[in-house]
Amino acid sequence: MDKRLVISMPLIIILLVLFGTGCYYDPAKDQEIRYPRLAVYHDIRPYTYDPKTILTVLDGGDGEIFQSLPDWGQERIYPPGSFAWQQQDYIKITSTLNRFVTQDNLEGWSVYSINASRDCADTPLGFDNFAITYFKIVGDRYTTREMHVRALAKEADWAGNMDFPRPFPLGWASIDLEKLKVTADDALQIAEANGGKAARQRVNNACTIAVALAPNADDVNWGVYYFGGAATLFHFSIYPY
Amino acid sequence: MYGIDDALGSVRQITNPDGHIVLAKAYDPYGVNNLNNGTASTNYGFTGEHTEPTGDIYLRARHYSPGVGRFITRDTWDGVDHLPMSFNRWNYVNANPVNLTDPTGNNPMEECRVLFPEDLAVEMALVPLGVIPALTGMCIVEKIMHPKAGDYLNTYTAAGVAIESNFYDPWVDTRGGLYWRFEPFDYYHSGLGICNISDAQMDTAFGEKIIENGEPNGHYGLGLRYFDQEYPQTAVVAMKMRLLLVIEPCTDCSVTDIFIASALARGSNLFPSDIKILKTEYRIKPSSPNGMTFNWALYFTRNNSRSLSSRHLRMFQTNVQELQRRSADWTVPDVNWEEINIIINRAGS
Repeated sequence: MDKRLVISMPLIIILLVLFGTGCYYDPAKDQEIRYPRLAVYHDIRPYTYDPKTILTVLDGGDGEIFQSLPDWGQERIYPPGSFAWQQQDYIKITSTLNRFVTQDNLEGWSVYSINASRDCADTPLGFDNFAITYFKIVGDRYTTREMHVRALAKEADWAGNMDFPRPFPLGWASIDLEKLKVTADDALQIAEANGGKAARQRVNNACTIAVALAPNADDVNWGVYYFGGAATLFHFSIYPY
Repeated sequence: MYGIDDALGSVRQITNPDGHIVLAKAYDPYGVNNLNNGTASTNYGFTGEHTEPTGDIYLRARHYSPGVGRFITRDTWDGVDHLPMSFNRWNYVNANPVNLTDPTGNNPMEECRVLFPEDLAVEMALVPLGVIPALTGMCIVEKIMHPKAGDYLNTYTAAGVAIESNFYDPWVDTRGGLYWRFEPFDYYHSGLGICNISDAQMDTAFGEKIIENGEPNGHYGLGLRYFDQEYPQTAVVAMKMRLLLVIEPCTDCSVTDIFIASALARGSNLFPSDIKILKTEYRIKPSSPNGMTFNWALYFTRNNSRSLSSRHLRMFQTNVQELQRRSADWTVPDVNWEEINIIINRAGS
C-alpha cells in the first residue's frame, strides 16, 4: 500500500468517525447561529427600573417595577459606584422581569449560562452586571430566553423568541441552580483569595472582573476573569457542584 | 453597423460600415449610461447586455438596475470595478485585461481540488484549528484575486474566501460548478459555492435583517440580489460585503478591532448588532494607537463563545499571514499582534 496512505490512514479513520457523528468542520454550519448571544435576538425588550428600590419592592410583591424603554442599544450612562447585588438578587430580578414580559415563571426551562461582572475595587462584593440565559426544547430545536441586568445604568433587557439547532449527538448542558454549591459570589471570593486580589492590585484596580458559568461554551467550571484592557490579568477556574 | 466594446463588453461606440462612429456611449463605473452622442441607437449597453427602455439591464433571467442597487450606489471601495465581470460569462473569460478570474479560462475549483484523500484529511483536521493555512483555498484565491498594496480589505476578503472555499468537496458537488452542495446535508444550501453564502443573504438589502419564515433569523443581507452566484467574483464581492457589514459600523475602531471583527464576520459570527453592543458597553482605552478599543475578551466571555472566537481568530490570522508570506502586496495594516495573540491564547483558557 502507498506509504503516504498508510501514514494518513489513522487520520482518515478519525475523520470518518467525526463525519459520521456530525462533529467535523463544515463552513456551511457557520451559516446557522448555534449559540445564543444578545446580539442575535430580534426580540429584545429594554426596561428601566429604580435600582434603589427594586429589591425592596420585589420582597413585597412584583408591583409595577419595570418601565419599557423606547429603543434598545442606546449609549448608556454608568455612574460611578456599585450596587453589589448578589446572584440570588439577580435571579429574583430576572425571574420577575421574565414574568412581567411573558406571564410565565420559567417552569420547564433550563439554565444555559450565567454571566456576572463588575469593576475591580478594593473589596469586590457582588456584581453590577448580570445575565442569565434559559433554554428548552421545542420540536427538534432549542428556544431561548435571555435576561441582562445593568444595575448602574438602571436597565434590564429581556430577549427571547429565538431558536437554535440541537447539537448532534449531545445536546446542550444545563446548569442546575438547586445543586450549585458555589455561586457566582462565592466564585469571585475564591478567586480573590487565590491570586485575583494580587492581580487587580498590580493594576491599581483598573480592571474588570467577569464570572461566567457556561458549560456549553468552554468548560463546566466557573471561570473568573480579571481583564485589564485587552489583557486577561488573571483567570481562575472553580468546579461549581 | 458594428459595436465596439470596451474591456467589460460594454458598448462604447457603434460604427457604420465605413468605419465612422455613429454613436458613442459612456458609463459610470456602476453601469449608468451617462453619455449618448450620435445618431444611431442600440439596446445593448453596459457589459454588452440588453438594456430595457426603463434603463434596466437584462441579465438573462434577471434585471439589474444600474442606479438602484444599494450596495453599488453607496459604496466607494474599489471592488466596484470588479462587479460588471460577474454579470457576463463571455466577458468573464475573454475580456479580462487587468486582473481577476482564472487566466486559463478553466474553473479554479477544478484546478485546485484536492486529489488525494489524505491531503483532504489533513486539511480538514488542521485548517479549522488554524494550524495550517487553507491551502486549497489559497490556490483558489490566487486564481480569482490579486493582491493590492494598501488595500487591507482585499487581503481580509482573500483570507475569508480561502477559508470558505477550502472545504468545497468535489466528490459531492453534483453540479460541477462553483456551488457548495453537500448532498447529505443539502438543507444548508449555501448557494454560493466558494464563499458559502445563502440565497437569502444575497437577496436581502445590505445591512437589513434576513426574514425567514416570517421572522428575522439573526443574519444580515448583503444586498447582492442581482449578482450571479455562479461566478467566483461574486463570491469575492459577497465576502467583502460580509466583512463590510461589521467594518462600516465600527467607527472609531482601531485596526486591531477591525481585524478581530473581520475574523469573526468571515464566518457570520459577528454582526452589526454586536458592534452596537461593543460600542455601548465594551469600550476601553487602547493601550497603544493601534490597540483594541473594545474589551473583546470580556465580550467573548459574556457571550459564551471564548473558544469558538479564539479558533476563528487563529484561523483568520494564519491565513492572512500566509497571504503576506506569498506576497507583500497582500497588505495588512499595523495590527497589534501581541493583543491578538493574547485573545487567541487566553480566550479559550
